[in-house]
Amino acid sequence: MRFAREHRLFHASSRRRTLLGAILIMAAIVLMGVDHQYQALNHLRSALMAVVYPVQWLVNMPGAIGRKLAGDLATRHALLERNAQLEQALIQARVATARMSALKRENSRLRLLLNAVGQMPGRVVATSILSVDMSPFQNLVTINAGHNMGVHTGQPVIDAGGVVGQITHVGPLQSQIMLITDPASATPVEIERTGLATIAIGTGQLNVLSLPYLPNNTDIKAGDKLIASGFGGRYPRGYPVAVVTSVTPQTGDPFAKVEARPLASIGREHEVMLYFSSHPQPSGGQQ
Amino acid sequence: MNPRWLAAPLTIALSIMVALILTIAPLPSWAEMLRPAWVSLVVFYWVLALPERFNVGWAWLTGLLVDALTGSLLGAHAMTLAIIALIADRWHLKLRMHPQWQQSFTLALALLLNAVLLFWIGGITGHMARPLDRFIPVVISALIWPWVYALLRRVRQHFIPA
Repeated sequence: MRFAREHRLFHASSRRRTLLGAILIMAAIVLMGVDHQYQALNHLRSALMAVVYPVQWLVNMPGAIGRKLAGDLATRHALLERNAQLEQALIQARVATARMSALKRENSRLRLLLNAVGQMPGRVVATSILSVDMSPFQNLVTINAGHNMGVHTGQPVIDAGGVVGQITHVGPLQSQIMLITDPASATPVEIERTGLATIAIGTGQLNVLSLPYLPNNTDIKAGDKLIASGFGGRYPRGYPVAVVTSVTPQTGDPFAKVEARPLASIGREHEVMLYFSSHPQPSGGQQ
Repeated sequence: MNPRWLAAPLTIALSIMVALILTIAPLPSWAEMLRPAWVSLVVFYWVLALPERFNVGWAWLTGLLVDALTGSLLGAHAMTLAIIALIADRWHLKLRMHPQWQQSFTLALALLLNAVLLFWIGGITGHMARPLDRFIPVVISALIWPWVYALLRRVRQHFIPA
């Protein structure tokens, strides 16, 4: 008797749990639809990212400790040598900057003559990488800067070599970057040698970008440098993106198979730089 | 040590946290597609073992955390983990009695369904994957299930008073 009642009770609660499950699955589908189409869920995602921050921090900790120990254990001699090297590099960079500023003045004067709006110089902020998700269908990097640093969606991320990617989600303390090699990423580029504009699509492989929209007779060859064209107003114009590695004309197909290797040291560096342009960028939408 | 009522939530939360860490811990890129669906395994276990404590709702919330962590569409993993939990909950009495390989088989079917769903969602949102990258983890997860099960059962017996 007692068993039968318990059994019935259990049965009822089991059915209620199934109902709850069905409702939650529906809710998840609605959530996905809303998240795909609108920006409305940014606050929810930002709150959830705050909750998972400890997880990312923990994953990053062994590497961070290792780097710190390596720094602490370096010998005085090695440090002095490195310091001398860096001072040399700094002097060279200063010289280059001095020449740059002269060129910049000249450039802005020429732009004025051409009656064109010059690209305002931006400011960069270095941040460290918290975690990396390099699954074949998504190239995503989480960095240690969020709302607290004024990061916004669509902001370009660069390193000393070239363009790294753009911010897709911002949390309170961290944000996520979609790399230019992500299959969902398209970067407006220009062939530096000829000035021809095209689009570089990610392939999911960290060292391969694809340029699928170049006709077979395009003037392009391996070794050509690709720079950001600035179209779409997201990546800083003229900043290096990639270098062409192979050009294969496709007979029977209007477009050639062109591949390029990103110039940023994606997946190898522990620091990247956030680029703050001095005029506000349009946000929303993907390039 | 812990008050009795705190032991279960704490143990479950910690095991899920470990699963989340394993989900994003860096791996060499060739090993990336061999990574088991850790969170799904842990959720499957807790629903199987303690369906009154860890129900579909918790699985759903865990899924939202996975979505925030991996940058996927909000709700994608919430849906797939809710499906895993529903399957485990619906048949937990039978599954507990079954031999391990049969549990693995049920889990594989549930994960396969999820892989297909995630594959579609990826296709719609422009994260096209090669089918193998989605389906190899299903096989790996099913293969390591007996060990995950044994480990989590020891954890439960040690930390959660019956």
